[in-house]
Amino acid sequence: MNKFNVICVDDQPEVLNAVQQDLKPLKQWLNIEECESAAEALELMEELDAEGQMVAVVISDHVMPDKTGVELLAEIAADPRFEHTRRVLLTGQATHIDTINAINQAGIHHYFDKPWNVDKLVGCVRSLVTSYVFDAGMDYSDYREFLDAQMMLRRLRIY
Amino acid sequence: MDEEKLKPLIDRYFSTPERQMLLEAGTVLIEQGGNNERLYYVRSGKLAGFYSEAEESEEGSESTQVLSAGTGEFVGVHSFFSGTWTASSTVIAQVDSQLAWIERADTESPDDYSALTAQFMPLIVNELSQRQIRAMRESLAKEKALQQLYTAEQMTTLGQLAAGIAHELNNATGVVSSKAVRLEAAISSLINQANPELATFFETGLIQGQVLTSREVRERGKTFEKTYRLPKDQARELARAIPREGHIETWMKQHDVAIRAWQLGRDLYDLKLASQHTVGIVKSVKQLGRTEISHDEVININDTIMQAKALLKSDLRGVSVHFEPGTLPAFTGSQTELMQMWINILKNACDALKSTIAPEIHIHTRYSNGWYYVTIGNNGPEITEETRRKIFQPDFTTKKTGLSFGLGLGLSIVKRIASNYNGSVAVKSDREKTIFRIRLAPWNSNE
Repeated sequence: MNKFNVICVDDQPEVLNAVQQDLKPLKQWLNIEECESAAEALELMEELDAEGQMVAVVISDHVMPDKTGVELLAEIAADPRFEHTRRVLLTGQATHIDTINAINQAGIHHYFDKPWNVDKLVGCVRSLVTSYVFDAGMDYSDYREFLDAQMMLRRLRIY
Repeated sequence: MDEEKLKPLIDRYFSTPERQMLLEAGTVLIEQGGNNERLYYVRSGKLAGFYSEAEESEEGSESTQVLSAGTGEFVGVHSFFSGTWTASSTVIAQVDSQLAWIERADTESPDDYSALTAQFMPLIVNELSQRQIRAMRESLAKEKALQQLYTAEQMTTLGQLAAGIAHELNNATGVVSSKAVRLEAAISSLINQANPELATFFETGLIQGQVLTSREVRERGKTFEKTYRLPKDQARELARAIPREGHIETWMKQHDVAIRAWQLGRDLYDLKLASQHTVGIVKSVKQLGRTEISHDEVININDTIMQAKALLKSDLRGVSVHFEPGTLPAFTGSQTELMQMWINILKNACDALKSTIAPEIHIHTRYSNGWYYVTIGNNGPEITEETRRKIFQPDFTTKKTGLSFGLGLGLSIVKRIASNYNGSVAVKSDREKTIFRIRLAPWNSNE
C-alpha cells in the first residue's frame, strides 16, 4: 500500500514537531513530512512528484521568513501537478488581509487557528485526504478502513 | 494700525479729560450680552475679552479668551459700530489700565455718525481682521492639540491593555514553567528508578531538544532505513533523536524504548523553551505598558546613546559605528525611556545589517530652538514604502525567524516615547541608507 504524503510547514521547529506528533494516529496510512521553510516544502514536493508519490495535503504556517504560507499555498494551487493537493493554513498571526488572500489567491481548503485542537486537526486531515483520493480518481479500496466514512459515502453517491 | 493716521483721531475724540478713567486690574469693564454704548481707547495697560457659552456665568462654565487689547488699541469696536450696542464678550482689565472713551450720544446726529464711521473705517476693518486671524489660529491650535491628545490617548490605552495582558500571562506562564520543572524532576527520577539505561536517552532530549533540521532528519532517515533495514517511520524517529556525534549502536540496541525516552525529554525541553519564550514576550509587552517611570531626571542625551551602544556591544560586533555627538544642553526626562528608544532603533539596525557587506551605523545629535534631534542611520537594505507606512504600528514586524522573532513592539515603543516628549520619529529609506530621525523636547517643557 502506497502511503499518501502530508507535508507540514512551519519555521518554528517545536511547533512543527508538535503538529507532526499530533498527526501520529494517521501514520499507519499517511507519511507525515516536515519542512522548516516554504522553499524546503517546494523542493520536497518536487522530489516526491519525481518519485511518483502523491502529496495529498500541505499544512502551512503563514508568517515565515522569505516566503509566507499564503504565498506557498498559492504557488501550489497554481501548479497543475498538485491541482488536487489539499491546502491548509495553520496560523495564529494572520491578519484580516492575509486571510482574504488565503481564500482568494491560495484557495485554501481549511483554516486552523493556533493553538489548534488535536482531534479536529486529525479529523480534518482525514477528510481532506479522503476528498483528495476521490478527486484524483484513485482506487480507494486499499484505504477504505482509514478514510473519512461520511465523506466517502457522500462522494460515492455522486459518482 | 498706522499710528500716524490714528493720532489725529485720538487727539480729536479721546482727549476729553472728563472721559478718561483708570480701571484697576481685575475689574470688569463690560459684560458679555450687556449694554455697551462706549468705544474705549486704551491709553495704557492691557485688557482681555472672554466669551462664554453659558447664558449666565454659571459655576464651572468655561470661558474662552477672544480679545486682547493693549496700549493704543480699542475696546468695544464690535458693539459700537455694529449698531447692536451689545457687548460680544466680557472685558476685564488684566493690569491697571488707563482708558478714554466716546459715547453713543456723540453719534446721535446722523451726520456726526457717518463722519465718525468714515474716520474709523480702517480701525473697524483692522479689528475684524485681527479677530478673524485670531479665530483661525485658535482653531488650528485646537485641532493640533486634539490630535496630540488623541495620539497620547491611543498610546496610553494600548499601554494599559498591554500591562493587563502581561500580568495575566505572567501568572499563566508562571504555572507552566514551574510545573514543567516539577514534571522534569519527577519523570527523571522515575526513569532512573525503573531503567537507568534509559536515563541517557531521556537526558539527551531534555538537554538539547531536537538539534537536526527537518531536511537533515529526512536525509539521515533514508540512510538509517537502508543501513539498519528499519521501517521508514522508525528510521526517521531515530534520525531525529540521535545527536550528530551520538553513539548510534547504543541507540540501535533498544531503539524502541530509546526513542520514547528521548521524545519525553524533548517534549519537556520544548515546554521549557516555550515558557521561557513567553516570559520574554511578556517582558517586552510590559515595557510598552510601563507607567512607573520618573521623568524629572536631568540627563545628557549623548551619554544615553553611549550607554545604549555599550549594552548592544555584542550585537554591534562587526558594525562600524560612527557617533558624532553635538553640543547639547541638559535634557529633562527619563533615562530608561531614552535608552529604550536608542536600543530599539539600534537593534533594528543591527538586524537589518545582517547581510550587508561593510555595515555602518551613523549617529548624530543636534540641538536647535528647544528641540533635541537624534539621527540614527545605517547602510542596510531599503525599507519599502509599504513597510515604512506600517513600521510604527504596534503589531508590525518583519522578524519571524524561529525563536528570535520580534513582537513588532520596538518601533511602536519608540513612537510612544517620542510622543511623550512632544516629539516625533520619522523614517527615510533608499537603496543607500535608512535613517531614523527623532525629535524631542524636554519633559513638560510645553506645559
